[in-house]
Amino acid sequence: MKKIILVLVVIAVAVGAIGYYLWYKPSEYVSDGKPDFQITLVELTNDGKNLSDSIFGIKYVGKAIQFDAEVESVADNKGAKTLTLKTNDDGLVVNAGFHESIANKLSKIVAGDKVKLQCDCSGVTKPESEDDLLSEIEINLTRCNLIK
Amino acid sequence: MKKNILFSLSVMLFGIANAQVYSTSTGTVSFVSKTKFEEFSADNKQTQAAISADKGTVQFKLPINSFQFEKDLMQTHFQENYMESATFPTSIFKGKIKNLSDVKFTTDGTYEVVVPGTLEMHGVTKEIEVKGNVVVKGKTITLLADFSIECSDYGIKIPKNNVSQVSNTINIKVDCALTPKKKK
Repeated sequence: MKKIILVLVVIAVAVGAIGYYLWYKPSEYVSDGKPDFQITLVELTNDGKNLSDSIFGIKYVGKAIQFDAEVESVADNKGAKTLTLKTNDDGLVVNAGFHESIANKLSKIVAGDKVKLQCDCSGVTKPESEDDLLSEIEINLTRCNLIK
Repeated sequence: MKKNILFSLSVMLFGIANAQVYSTSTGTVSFVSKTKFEEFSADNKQTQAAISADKGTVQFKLPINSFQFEKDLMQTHFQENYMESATFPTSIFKGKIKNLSDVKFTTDGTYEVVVPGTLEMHGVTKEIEVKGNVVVKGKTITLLADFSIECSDYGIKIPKNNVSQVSNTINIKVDCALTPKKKK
């Protein structure tokens, strides 16, 4: 009987500990681990242009993508950095967002640098009409990691 | 004659300034959920925002998966269970400043505005009215707002066993610094 109670207590403590760990586990600020896609930026931007935002979303949203790119500009938003990446299309913007916790990794990155990134995809937004104020197609990448 | 030229020039310059569209892709939108037992927040620093100075139209687009939470489980629940971000990846607000004549885009200052418009979220579009401020400082226009929405209005269901942790009323803060949009 004592053994059974002991086993139940151990199980209860283990379940509680796992629950506590899962509930309080901090978010990942950086995309790491094996990427879901290793593609070129051209492949990604072509899909951004040619697929509907919902089909693009099903394919890429929440997935880790690794790719090479050239930096067009670097922006700072209260410590968080965003790299705008160079594309061959004036009407298409790719923004790679970095959490402030790894902003120091980007301190030497400037426009023109070639980088390898791994990011989680947040989706694509497209203008709904010609007079849309946000007139570019924009691919948003978040929780980015500078691989090299 | 000189006065006429000056007047014409100032009208032209004012017209050019007002025809300007200001935009950003790195604005911030945050939200807070607060119940008796749990309070949590998340930031989205990849908010796209734009304003047309002559028409007073404003637009915001938020990639839902760009919201960053402190707790991993909350982020997963938010994306997969509440917002269903794979199906509804973007939230969009479109509006028009009601009292546009009160805002002087060429004069530094803080201008209170009322912006009726539509908010599309989780596949549901609703009309809302947001009160906020337009802050003009040099060539930067900052849009600030603080308002609340009800999750139930947008078909976002909070499971019964999570009601004590997740509020139906969500407070939203907008802080987006916009600069003149480059013409391509």
